[in-house]
Amino acid sequence: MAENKAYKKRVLIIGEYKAEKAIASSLIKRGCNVTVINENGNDAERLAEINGLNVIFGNGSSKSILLDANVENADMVIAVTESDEKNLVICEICKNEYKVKKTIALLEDGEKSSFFYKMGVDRVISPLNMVTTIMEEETLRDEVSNRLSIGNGRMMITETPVHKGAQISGKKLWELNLPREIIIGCIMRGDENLVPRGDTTIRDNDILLILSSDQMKLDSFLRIAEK
Amino acid sequence: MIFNKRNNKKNNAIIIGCGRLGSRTAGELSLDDWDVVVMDNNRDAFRLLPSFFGGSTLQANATDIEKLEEAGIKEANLFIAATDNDEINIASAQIAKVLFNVEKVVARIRDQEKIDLCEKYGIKTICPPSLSINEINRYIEV
Repeated sequence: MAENKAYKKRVLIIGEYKAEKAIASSLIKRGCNVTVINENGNDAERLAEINGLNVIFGNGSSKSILLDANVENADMVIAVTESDEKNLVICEICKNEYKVKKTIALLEDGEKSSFFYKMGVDRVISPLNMVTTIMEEETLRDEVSNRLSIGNGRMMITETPVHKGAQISGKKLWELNLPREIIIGCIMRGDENLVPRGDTTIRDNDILLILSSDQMKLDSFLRIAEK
Repeated sequence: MIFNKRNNKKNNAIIIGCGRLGSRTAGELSLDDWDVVVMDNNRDAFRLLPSFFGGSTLQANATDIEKLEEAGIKEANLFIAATDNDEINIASAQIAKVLFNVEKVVARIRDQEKIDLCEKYGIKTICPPSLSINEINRYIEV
């Protein structure tokens, strides 16, 4: 999306100063057209100092304010106020009334996430649930590998070091006979990042970034790799 | 009696928000033989309940699904959302209607713009400003 200069994605953010500032700054850097709505006069003024950011002062769950912020043309609405209920109502209004394609709501009480999805919110982000997932993964995995799930856990990106004298060390990638579900996407060697090919040799102390769609096959590969 | 009692059927009501509207409605319903649970996240709010109120109270957040279950939302046939916050009223009324299929759900919504978010799901809304305007118009016309 960032490469596409001709079309700027229009994003509307409703919420509190800190969250708005962080999200807006990063999206502006990525070339989005960002508008924020803030209820607090002082915070709205402070936000207006950010270059290239449109700021609307008012209550983000009110239709007139949303219209001021040009909600009808927004590609995405992000609701990050401190009230779960308000985030829900904002997303519902944007979805039902203004047909916004993608709505994202922050949710403090993770228990309600399926309810939010049921009401038509496209993406529910619950920090507590995310932290819990990370903690679980940290406890279940041994210290050496780092794992990231994407697409609701269908795909995994795993980071794993090659120990000295491991079975796979010194082998070329094609010699490993990797199953189709596993791709070694990147080898980090010292300061270098290599995109490997079939004839790339794995060495001691390399760090492998592995993409995989099958947890079982990944685990059996990791058992070999870590030995 | 504001609410008609139906015979041979248990009448369970949940009221969220124990302000003037919530507490008075709770009193009326309990006089009318309803089993009433009033929820509010502020314990002090329950002082507004009339002395003849015969139901129970639960201190909890109105959109906490677990607490709503504890209040008996699965068996409820009337749910009244009467907190002072429109968004909370909308969200909890939607929980009652959409997740638990409560027969009659009423929400007080001050902001007229948000009424269709409720009526879409068959939630009855009460908009105090609109009611007042109607009354004023009626008075003027007389």
